[in-house]
Amino acid sequence: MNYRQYSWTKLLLQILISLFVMPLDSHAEETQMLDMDLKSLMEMQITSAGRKEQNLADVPAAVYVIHQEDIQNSGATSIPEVLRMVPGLQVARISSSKWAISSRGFNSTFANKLLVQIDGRTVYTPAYSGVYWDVQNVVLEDVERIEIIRGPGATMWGANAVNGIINIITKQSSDTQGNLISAGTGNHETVMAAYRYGTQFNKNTYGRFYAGRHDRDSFKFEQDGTDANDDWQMTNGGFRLDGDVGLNDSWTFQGDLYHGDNNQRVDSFWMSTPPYHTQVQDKMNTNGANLLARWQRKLSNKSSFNLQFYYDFTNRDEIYLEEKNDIFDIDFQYHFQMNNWNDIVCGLGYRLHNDDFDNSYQIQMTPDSRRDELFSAFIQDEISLIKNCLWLTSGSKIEHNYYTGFEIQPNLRLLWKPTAKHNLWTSVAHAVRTPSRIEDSGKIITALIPEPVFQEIAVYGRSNFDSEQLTAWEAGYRYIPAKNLAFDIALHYDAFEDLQSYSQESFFAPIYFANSMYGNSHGVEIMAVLSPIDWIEIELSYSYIELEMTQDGDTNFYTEKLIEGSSPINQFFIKNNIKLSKNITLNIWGSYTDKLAATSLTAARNNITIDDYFNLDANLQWRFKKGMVITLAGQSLLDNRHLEFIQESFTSPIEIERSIYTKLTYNF
Amino acid sequence: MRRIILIITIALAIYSTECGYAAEISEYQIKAAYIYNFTKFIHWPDNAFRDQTAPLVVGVLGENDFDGALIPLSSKTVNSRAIQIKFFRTLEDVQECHILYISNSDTVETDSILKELKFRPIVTIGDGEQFAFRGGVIQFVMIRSRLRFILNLANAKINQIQIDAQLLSLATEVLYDK
Repeated sequence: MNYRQYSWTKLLLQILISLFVMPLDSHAEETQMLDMDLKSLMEMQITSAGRKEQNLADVPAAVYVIHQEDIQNSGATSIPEVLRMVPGLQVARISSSKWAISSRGFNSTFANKLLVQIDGRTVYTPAYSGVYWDVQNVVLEDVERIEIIRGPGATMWGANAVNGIINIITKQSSDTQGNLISAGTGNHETVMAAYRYGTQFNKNTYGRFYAGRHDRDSFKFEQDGTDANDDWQMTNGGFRLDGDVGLNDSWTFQGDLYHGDNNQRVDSFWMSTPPYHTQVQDKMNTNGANLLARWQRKLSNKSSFNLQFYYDFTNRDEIYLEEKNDIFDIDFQYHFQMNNWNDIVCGLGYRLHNDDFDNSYQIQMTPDSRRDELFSAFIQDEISLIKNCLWLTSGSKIEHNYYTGFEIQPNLRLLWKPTAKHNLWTSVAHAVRTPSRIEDSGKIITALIPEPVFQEIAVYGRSNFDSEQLTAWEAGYRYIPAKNLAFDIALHYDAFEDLQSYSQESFFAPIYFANSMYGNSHGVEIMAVLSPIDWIEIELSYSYIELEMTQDGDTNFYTEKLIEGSSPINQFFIKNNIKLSKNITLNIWGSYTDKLAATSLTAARNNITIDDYFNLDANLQWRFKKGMVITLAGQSLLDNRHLEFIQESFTSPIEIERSIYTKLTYNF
Repeated sequence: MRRIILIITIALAIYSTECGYAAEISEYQIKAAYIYNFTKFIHWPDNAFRDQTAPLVVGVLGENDFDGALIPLSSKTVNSRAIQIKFFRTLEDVQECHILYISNSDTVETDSILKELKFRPIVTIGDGEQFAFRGGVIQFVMIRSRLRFILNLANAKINQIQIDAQLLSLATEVLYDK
């Protein structure tokens, strides 16, 4: 036997050994389990995937769910990047630390018609009713799922759930036991580090603690390719405790803490004294903390209630405005089956909000500190018209807010399930977007003419600014012909009234926020999931949306052009998950995003558009040891850099660069 | 080059033996392990067995959701008695039996089944809602994706079955005499 033969024989032998050792092991496991004592058995986790998902497929609304596995496969390193897979959502990155995210149109840096919640805590900023995505950090490995509902959900969730809701739900701490270390680095994601420790305190109480750090490098300006100096760092930590008292009571107590340092270049910074206008490099910082407690009690097999409190503190110190918000929120929900055909959910809520601003000359809030209260109540009844076949859901929310008083937001939904494979639904709903602090009592300097007469060109908030109104008509169809094939289509027609725009009496008169625009949008979202072979899964989606806006009176502001142009008309997305071997997975994402005709008022006025683009993300994940995964990922692979969105004001266009990173995740 | 291939192959072989995602453990595998453990803490009256060497019979009434999960039990012994697994299609088939897992135990028929078995020395187990309250001895409950159990000591006593304090202490809830 020469050496060559010997080596190949040995190779074959090794392969054979590796093949045979495995099944032996799993056989051993079965009898091993019988020898486990009761205490260990009581801690064994049973994975019963799909039960909740099934329920969501029966919702008469356009729902999309991102599961933990999808997050892991995505290779995304932040929530906004994860959301790119959702049909009907517009996700655009403005800079290293800023994203414009919206559902069914109206995308902007200050997108305000989307409600985002993390474990039941609303994370929008009352100053402008939008979300600062850079401070919404969770350990992605600890997220159970993200539910996205497109279209209005105001009845259950309340104001600002106008065009969509994003619910980020983290795992119960009983599902995150043990240690998790995640560490990575790349050209853009310079430092990614997270540690989580999960433990059990006694038979009925579990907990987890986490700490994380994320540093991201800057991107480049579109104009000259120079460094945009928009790098940022985020440090966060938190905990979650979950427990049971007997069979009928369970509770959760959780909290988070973060600090962020973000760099940004502000191109237009106005001052009341010479030189009046300057460009500044702003080193801004963000701080936040929250605590949430929830108690769930099962009263009987047919009724339960849920009581939740949270306190949320946020602070954002930017050169043009420092804002502090304290929110205290209490929410009660009662769910009961009145009889065989009526399933009722009702609730009461109260929110207290204190804000405190440190004004600059450029942005001012008057008064600079204020307290406002929100009262709400809702009831929704799911009526089973034909058992297991036809359901009618009707309900309404009534709330009282500081700005516009009472608001009523009803909806009516019909779900028809002729067979288990087909599912048709339709709905009509009314929702409002209540005024934000800036529309009520803000002042923004947009330009200044010092000579010959000192003249400010400013936009003012007005206390009679009213809520924006939406009436949405929707219909959808889901078809699941086989286990490895599913289709989902949703159509919508949205009629908007009293949309935010501007008004001005005469050329040098002050500009006011005004409810002077109306219009409609219509669109379709189509999705297909197929798995031609059991180791390949493909998801395809196409979203189409078109908006038509009309401005009452003065059209010099180009608001209608901005709204019509800020969302891509066509979006395609393809997601491939390929299991190359038992331990190696390849994920490929491809997408096409249509051009944007305008993303800011300035852009609308000057015809600055954003080109359509193709994008490709890919990652390879190797489970090389039990609990250990190495990821090699590349994002925005097709070009060195590309432009996705230009911020409303103050900053120059920044291009998103190709990002390559490697990450190790170890669960033990 | 050959050496490199060899090293890589060995490395892969070693890793692949180590990694293997533990085949996902099903609810019924855990239930089977629970049932085996229960036998260690439960004492039947002497007349429940034919003789000193008679096996301890673990039965399943109705649909067998366990698949093969109960099979490993038959290679075990408890208090020097062998364990025998039996599957019963109807209540009438249930003759000699010590532990009986009742499938689909949240139906209307469950009440009559439990009533029928009431005075026999059989530990009835089920996962139907209110199973222990309706006359069963042990009810499985799912709490936070983990399987736990409720014990109805009153029902055990009627059946002349003794349960060790250690098992009682691990129960999520113990129901005593009314």
